[in-house]
Order: sequence, then structure tokens, then C-alpha cells
Amino acid sequence: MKLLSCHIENYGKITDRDLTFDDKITSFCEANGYGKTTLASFLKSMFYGLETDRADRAFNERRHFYPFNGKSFGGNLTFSSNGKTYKIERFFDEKSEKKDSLTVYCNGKVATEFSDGSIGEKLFGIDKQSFERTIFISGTEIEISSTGSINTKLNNFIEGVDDNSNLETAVNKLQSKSKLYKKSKAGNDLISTETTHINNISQAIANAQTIASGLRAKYDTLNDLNREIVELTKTISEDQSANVILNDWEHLDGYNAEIEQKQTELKSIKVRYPHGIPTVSEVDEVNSAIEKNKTLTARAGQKFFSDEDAARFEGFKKEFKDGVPSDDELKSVQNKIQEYTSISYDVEKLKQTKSSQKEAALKQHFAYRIPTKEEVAELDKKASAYKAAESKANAIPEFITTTETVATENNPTQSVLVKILLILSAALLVAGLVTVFFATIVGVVLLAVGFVGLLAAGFLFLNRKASIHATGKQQVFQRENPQRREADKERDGILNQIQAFLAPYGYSLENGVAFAVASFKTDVNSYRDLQDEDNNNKALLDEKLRRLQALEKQLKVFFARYNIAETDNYSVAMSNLCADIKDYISLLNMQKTQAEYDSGLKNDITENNKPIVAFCKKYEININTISETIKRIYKDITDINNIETALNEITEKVKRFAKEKNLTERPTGEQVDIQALNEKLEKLRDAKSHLTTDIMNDEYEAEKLDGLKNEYETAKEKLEEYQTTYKLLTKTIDFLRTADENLKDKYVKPIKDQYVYYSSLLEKTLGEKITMDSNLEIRYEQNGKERSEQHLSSGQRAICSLCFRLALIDNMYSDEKPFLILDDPFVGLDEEHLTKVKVMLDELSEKLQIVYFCCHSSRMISK
Amino acid sequence: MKIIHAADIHLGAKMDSKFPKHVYDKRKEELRNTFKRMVEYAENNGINVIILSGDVFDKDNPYKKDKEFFYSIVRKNPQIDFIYLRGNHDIAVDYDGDPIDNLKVFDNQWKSYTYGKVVISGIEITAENSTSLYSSLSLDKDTVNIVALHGQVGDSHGKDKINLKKLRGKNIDYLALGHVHKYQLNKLDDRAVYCYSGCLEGRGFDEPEEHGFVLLEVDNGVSSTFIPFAERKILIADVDISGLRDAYQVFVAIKEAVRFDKNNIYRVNLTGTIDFDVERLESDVEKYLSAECFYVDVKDCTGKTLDIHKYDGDTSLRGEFVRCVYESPDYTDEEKAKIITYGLKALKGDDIEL
Repeated sequence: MKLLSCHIENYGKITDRDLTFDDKITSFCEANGYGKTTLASFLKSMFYGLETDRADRAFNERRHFYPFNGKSFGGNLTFSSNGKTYKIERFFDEKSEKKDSLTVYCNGKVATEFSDGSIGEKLFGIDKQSFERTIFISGTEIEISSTGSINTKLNNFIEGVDDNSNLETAVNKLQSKSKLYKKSKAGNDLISTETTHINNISQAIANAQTIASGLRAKYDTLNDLNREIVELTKTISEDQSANVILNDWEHLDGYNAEIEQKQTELKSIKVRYPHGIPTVSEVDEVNSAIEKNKTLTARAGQKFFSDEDAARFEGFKKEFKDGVPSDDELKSVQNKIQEYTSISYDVEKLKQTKSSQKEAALKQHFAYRIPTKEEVAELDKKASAYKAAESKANAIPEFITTTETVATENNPTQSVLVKILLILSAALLVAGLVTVFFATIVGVVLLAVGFVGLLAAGFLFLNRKASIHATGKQQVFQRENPQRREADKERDGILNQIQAFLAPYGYSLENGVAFAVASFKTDVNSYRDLQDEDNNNKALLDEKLRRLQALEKQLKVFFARYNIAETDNYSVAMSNLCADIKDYISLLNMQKTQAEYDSGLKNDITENNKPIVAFCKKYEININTISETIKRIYKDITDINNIETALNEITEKVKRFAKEKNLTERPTGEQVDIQALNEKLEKLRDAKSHLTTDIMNDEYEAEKLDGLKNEYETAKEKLEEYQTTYKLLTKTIDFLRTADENLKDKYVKPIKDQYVYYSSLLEKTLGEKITMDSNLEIRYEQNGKERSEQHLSSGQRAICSLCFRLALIDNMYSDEKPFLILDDPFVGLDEEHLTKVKVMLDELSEKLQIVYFCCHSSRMISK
Repeated sequence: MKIIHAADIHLGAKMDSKFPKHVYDKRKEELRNTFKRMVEYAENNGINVIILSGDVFDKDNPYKKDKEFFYSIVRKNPQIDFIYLRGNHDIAVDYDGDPIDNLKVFDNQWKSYTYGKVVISGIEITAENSTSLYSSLSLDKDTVNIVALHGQVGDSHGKDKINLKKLRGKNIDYLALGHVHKYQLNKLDDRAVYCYSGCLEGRGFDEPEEHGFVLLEVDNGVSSTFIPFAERKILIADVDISGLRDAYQVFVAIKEAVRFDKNNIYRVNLTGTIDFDVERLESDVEKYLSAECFYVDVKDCTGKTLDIHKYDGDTSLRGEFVRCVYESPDYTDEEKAKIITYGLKALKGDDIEL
């Protein structure tokens, strides 16, 4: 790779400077302040850019080299590599690399593969730090050590491959994985978790085993309890049986005591009957007689014919002293009463007949007098005459009518217009006539116009006249008709006559003459019919009054015979009589029944007392208290029967019970307290129940044992697996590191060889007894002791650094070597060593482009 | 007459520790339930006798609830006689509850239960009677003789041992055995067969294949039929996955090789040789197969291959690392394979799956 040229637009103190580079050595020997370090920084920044300026950094190249003039910050660099020409254009922001601009051209075209800014990394295969330790050598940066980037580059070189294997990344990955299994501090890792889990399971197993081992004893206790319960149950059963037998004997004793008591009761009853105990039939007979006696005695006071009845009977006997009227007689009287009632009604109706409203009106109309038939006929004629007169008058018109036409002017404006036109025409004619002598044409025209106007006026005048004639109005004139007046007079004369006739009878003509006359004639006829009807009714009433008097006389005679008070209401009188007849016959029958009843009752009582007397005599019982005694006898008989029945039943029961319970010999001993035993049994059962629950719970826990053991085994296997995996992961890291060490050992040797080669050219002592470890740290043996390069002088260290970097470059780049930038690194060299360096660099420049900066001509190197 | 011959119920036994908890619990429940189903089978098929040839319980001191389970089933089925011979696991189990008429037991002396012309005899083998029991057995040649014993058949005496030679010519028609958990039927002599009914349910991958009981039909002689009755089968298959690179390829290979039944439990042994860096096969394949059956356990039994010569010319850190590991004498090949896998993945920047 060769740098060709560069243009610095603004970078630190350098502004607008163009530089070209020699193929071999380009030396810049300028006094301090020229900008050599700035130029070196510019070249580096073209490949690696500038880091963002951060306030926390004491030194920052971006801040340090920001142009004093504040103008565009950057420039371009042209170089060749692998036969291609590249140009980097790079400009920087004052603060942030994000705002930088970068364009890379390859053979004049934009090369996109560098657009991410990693030009140095891609071209040299190393990062910026590595660049500073290899290609770029300054007076201050003379570190002799490797970097990860250099190692990888070296590694790849040794291997001849280009893989991106990164030991540290792989180790980190493995460590991260192994930490899942085990952390430096036990805690949230798989091995710790599983160990805790195993401990927990172990504890659970221990618990379950304790519970399981205790089960045998609990089973034994349960068996003991079961046996105790069985035995106690048996004892209780036996004692219950013994108790039952004793109870049976006690029961039997109870029966016998009952028999004894019944016999005593029986004896005490029988002692009351020295003549024997009456039979139930005897007692029933006496009791029946006693009961019947009560009924008969009660009946003795019973009256069917009271004193009041007797008094009434006496009264009726007087009323009917001549006997009771026969049914026929009563029927005949009844018919007469009905006829009397009917006629009385008719008479009353005739007497009470009243005139209707119309009849009253008729009577009022004709109270004055009744008109004769002739008068009515005369009125009828006048009514006909009136009708004829009215028709005649109506046929004649009331007025005589005449019609006349009246002319009217309806357009006065037109009249005025005609007149004006006439005047104007006349004036024109006159003017025409006058002018015709002076100006013939004008005169003729005026005459013609005047003549035309005259004609027009004449036309309008005539037209107006015709219009007036055509629009004349017709007017009507009326006069009174004398013939009509005569006819009305005749009609009104007839009307006055009719009105004069009807007025005394109260008829008006307001509804017309015909109506008034017709009403009058109808009313006259109706009034005459009414007078005829009144006369007929009077004759009928007289006849009915005569029959009514005859009937009244007959009925009064009849009722007087039975002392029935005189009355007009013969129906009531008849009804009273019939009621009296009925009561009289009833009382007559009652009197007879009472007599028969009293006689029969007396006989019954005598007959009923006979068995009572006999019974009292047989058993020496006071007959006066027989009613009370008989009740006691009844009770005694019932008691005796009940006691005897009970005695029989009990005796039978005793026999049966003794046989059934096999009570032949009374056992010795007393009742056992079963309740106490049952309580004890209950306690045993409770204990068994609790123990059973206990056992069930224990079995539930103990049953987990197998599962827990399985879980324990599984957890142990898992833990072993985790531990194995952890061990293998850890071992994998160890193996990777070992492999890495092995590799480093392989590439250190060629570097060391090259280093010895270069250093031998410059300083022999640096090339002898040198050791280089796998991190490329160089150590020297001096006075039998190993020392690091830090103990060398600054000049020696500069040579060391140069040799080391040249060795690195030789090993890192097999094909195309990069350029070498030397920023005045040999300040501390003496002349002898500097001469050697110059010679070496001169030779080196044959295969490696060198850009050399120094500030003193003594250190100037040039081809 | 029909009789069921069953044995080795092992109530209260633990299941295979490989089973996850839900499978473990489920299988325990199924073990009980299958016994219950067998009794229902007897009830529904007019079977009045069930011979239980030992190890009804898994231990001498069974849980109360297991005892109650068994005895309550016996009590609830009075029409069925349960002829219960204790085995080496439950020899000390005793029943201390109310007497159960249909529970017929044996002890260390020969005892017989007669059903018409069928005589069922049995003895619990102890160290004391292990020699004498053969000479004390006397069976009528005119009856149908079923003998129940619990132990391992062979030609020697001893506790839990059954000397078959000494049982020949004893007028036995059917020797109802318990102890071996897999069904076996073999000839004893000209008249008899001896039969292990096997257990009712397999408890783990050491008890694979069919399980159930034996149905005996007794007429003039005894004919037996094995009735598969387990809730689900446990099956084991070997699948060669040589050359396969990932779990899905292995899953496909297994699917081609094994016909899965959703009801069964499988153990798939992966065999053959695969590259050393093929990882996480077991868990990933188990996930793929989980929907195919009740439970599957995949076991990687493959050999891992590592071609060290592939890195001979590799001068990079990678090659150096592989060589370092390979040459180390301190690790097994399997460990080396893992270390190399981890290291190469880390160098490549890949995730390290563990």
C-alpha cells in the first residue's frame, strides 16, 4: 500500500496544504510548531476518523485539532492498494463523529464498502489502537505489546485462514452459560436451586419415613382398640342379656301384684250384696221401668186443652147455639158478597167518571150556547165565499208596470279630443289656405293635413254618436191596480163576518179561515156526542144502586144471626165467621183428646211400677232411692266384670310370659349398669375413629414417600447432570484458553525471530537473550535477571518499539505491506544508533513506504 | 365351573420412577381399578371362585386403605369365593376384621376347599415347610385338583421356591402359581400344567407387554385361557437412528418403526451411531411423541461419533481446541464430545443448548 498525496483543507494549524508522498521515504523535517504531529494525526484520521469529543476526556484529537479558523475541518488522502487508487474525502464536525462526512473513491468511483467509516479496519485488518501500535510510531506512543486485534490478525496470518473466532467472545458465552449452573455466590443458579430442592425433598422424605415407620405402632393400637371394642361389645351384650332376664322377672312380679290388687277390689264390691249380685237383665228391667216412670210422670203434666182454650170454647158455643151454618149456605152468602162487591165497584166507577181535557175545552167553547145546524151551514157558506174572494183577489196583480229608455254619455275625454282635433284641423286648413299663397307646397301640405284632421274629427264625432245611441238605459215605472183594490175589499168583508161569528165561541182566525171553520164544525159535532153519552151513564147508575140496596139487606140479616158486628165490608165479616167455625170445631176435638189421654196415663204408671217393687223387695232396697241405687249397682256390676276380665287376662299373660321367657327359676344377682359400659365403648370407638383418621392422614403422607424418593432420585440425577454440565462448560473454557495459548506460542516465535533480526541491525544487545511471552511482552536478561523493556533507555525503547512493530508488520501482512508513519520517534537516539536506523529504514523503504517526521536535520532521513 | 386365577396384584406398590407424577398417580389408581374390574368380570360371567396366588399386597404391612379396599371388595361380593394365598410380599398380612365367609385363606399346612368334584388346595411356602410340603400333599385322583402356590419354579427347595419335579404325579390338574409377573404356561406332567398368571398391571418398563389373569374352565379336566386385562400395555421398542441429525428426523424414524396406541405406555430406545454434537434428542423427541400415546420415555442408547481427522489441517483456534480436547486423557469420549460441542458452538457464536 502506498500513500500518494493528500490535501489538508483545515486540520489544527494546517490550512489548505497539498502534499505528495514518495514511493519510499517521505521525510518532513521542520522546526517545532510546523505541524508534523498534526499532519501525522491527519493521516491517521483519514483512515480511522476522530472520536467524538466528550467533556469527560482530558485530551481529544477532534477538540485538539479543530481548526483555529473554525472553517471546514478535514481534507482528502489518495493512496494505492492492490493496484487500485483510492481517495478518502473526510470532513469532521466540531463535536460529534455522527455529523462527519466521508466519501471514498476507488479508481474515481464511489466505493460503498467503506461507507460505514471502517476504512482502516478493512484495509489494515486492525483497529485504531492496533494501528497506533504498529503502523503509526510516535515519539510518545512506543508501547511494545499486542492487542486483541493484532492477535487475531497475527492468528489469521499464522493459520492462513480468515475466521472471526474470538476467544473472549466464546469464553464470555461459555461463562455466561456456566453461570446459569453455578454462580460465584451460591444463589439463583441451577445447581444451588437443585441442591436446595434436594435438601427439601430429603427433609420431606425424612418426615414421610418417620410417619411411615410410626404406622406399624398405630396399626397395632388400632388392632388393640378393635379387640377391646369387640370384647366390650360382647360383655355389653352378655350383660344386656342378663339384665333382660332380671327385667323379665321384675315384669312377672309386677303382673302378680296386679292380680292381687284386682282380687281385693273384687272382694270389696261383692260384700255390698248379701242376697247375691243382681243380674244385668234384672237391673236393666228395673232401670228401664224407672226410666219409663220418669217419662210417664213427665207426661202427666201435659195439657192439650188449656184454660184459655176452654174460655174460647165457651164463647164459640154461644155464637153457634143454633148450629154451625152449612157449607151450601156459606157458599150462597159468599156469592152474594162477591156480587155486592162488584156492583159497588161499578157504581163507584160511574160516580167518579170525569171529563177529559178535550171534553172540558169543548164544554168551555160551547158554554155560551150551542150553534144551530143552520148557523153552522151559513158559516160553511161564508167560508167558501171567502176562499173564492181570496182567489179572485190573488189573481189580479197588485201593481201596473211601464218601461222607458234614458240616453247617457259615457266617454267625455273622447268628446274633448274630437273638439281639439276639430279646432286643430280648422286651424291647419286656415293656415294652409293662408300659406298656399306664399308657399304652395307647405300650404298644400297644411291643407291636406287640415283636411285629414277634419275627416278624422268627423269620423270620431260620428262614432261617438253611434256609441251613445247603443248604450242608452231602460227604466221601470209601477202604479197601484184599482181592480185589485176592489177584490181585496170584497174578501175582507167576508172575513169580518166569519170572525164576528166565531169570536163568541173563542175561535181565532190566526191559522186561516178554513182551519178555524173546520175546527169549529168538528168541535160542534164532538160536543153533541158528549151530551148523549152523559145521559146514558146516568140511567145505568140508577139501576145498579137499586140492586146494591137489595143485596145489603140480605147480608145484614145473615151476619146478624151469628152476632157478627154490622159492617160494610162483608168479605171481612165472612172471613171472620169462617175462622170462628174452624176454631170452634178444633176446640171441640181437643177437649175430647185431653180426656182420653189422662185416663190412659194413669193405667200405664200403675203397671210400670210392678217390677221395681218386686226388685226392691228381693234385694231389700229402699224403693224411694232406687234411682240412685240402680246406678251404683250398674257400676258395681261393670266393675266386677272388668276386674274379673282383667284378672283372667293378667293370669293368662303371666302364664304366657313365664313360658315365653322361660322364667322357671329366679336368677341371683343384680342389674348391671350398661350405660357405663356403653360410654366406655363409645370412648373406644371415638379413639378408634380418631386413630383411623390419623392413620389415613399418615398413610396419605407415607404414600408420598415413593413419589418423593423418585423425585429425590430425579433431582439427584438432575443435579449430577448440572454439575457435569458445569464442569464440562468450565473445562471447555480451560481447553479454549489452552488452545489459544498454544496458538500464541506458535505465532510469537516468528515475531520474535523478526524482532531479533531487526534489533540485531540496530543494537546487538537487544537481540540477545530475549524472551517474548504469548502476549508479546518482551523481556531481556541483564546481569542474570530478566527485565522488562520498561527498564531500557528511551532511545533503546524507541529502537525496541520500531523493531517490534516491524516484526509485527512482517507477520501481519504477508501480501501487501502497509506504509509506516514515524512521528519523530528517535529523539533519544545517539548518533551511532541513529545512523544505523537510517540505514535500516533506507533498506526497509525498498519494501515499505515510510513517512517520516522530525524536527531536526540531524534526524533527517531521506533516500 | 369357571374359576379365575390371578396373582401379584401388588396393591400399594410403587410405580416406575421414570413416570412423571401424573402418570405415576394414574397408574397407581389403575392398578387398584383393574383388580376391581376383574371382580366385576367374574360377577358378570358367573364366576364364583377367584384364586389369588400370592402378593395381593405389595408389603407385609400394607396401608389400611389398601386392606380396606381389598377386603371391602371381597365383602361386597359374597357370591364369589376369594381363595387367597399369601406370597413373599404379603406373607405376614393378617386380617383382623369381622369374619368374611367368602374369604378362604391358607397357611403353612396344606388346606383344601371343595366345590363339587373340584378341590382347590394350597400352602404358603416357608423355610420350615419348603421341603416337607411335597410329601404332605395328597390329592384324590378322581377329583379335579387345582393347587395354588407362590414362588419361583425350579428344581430346588427353599423359601419362595417350587420344586416342580416333586409335584409331578401328584394328581394335580392345574398348578396356579404366583410370583413371576409375566404370564407363563407349561406342562407339569401328563395330567397337569403349571401357570403363572402374571400381574394384572405392569408397574414399569421392567414389566412390559400383556398382563391379565387366567380363566379356568373346569369340567373333567381344566382348560385355561389367558385374558389380557390390563388398563394399558407397556411396550419397549428399539429404533436405529444412525446418521440422523435432529429430533424431528428421529421422531419421523420412530413413527415409521413403532405403531403407537394412544392408550399405551412406550419406552423407545434410540440405537445406532450419531454425530457427537446432536443434542437434546430425548426430551425433544418425547415432546414430539407425547400426543401419540399415554406416555413415552425416550432413551438415547446411541454411540456418538467424532471425526478428529476432520480438524487435522485446521490451524485455527477451533482446530487447536478440538485437538486439545481429543488428546486429553482425563475425560470420557462422551464428555469430550460435549466439551467439543460446547466449545465449537461458542466459537461460532451459536447458542449452546443444554
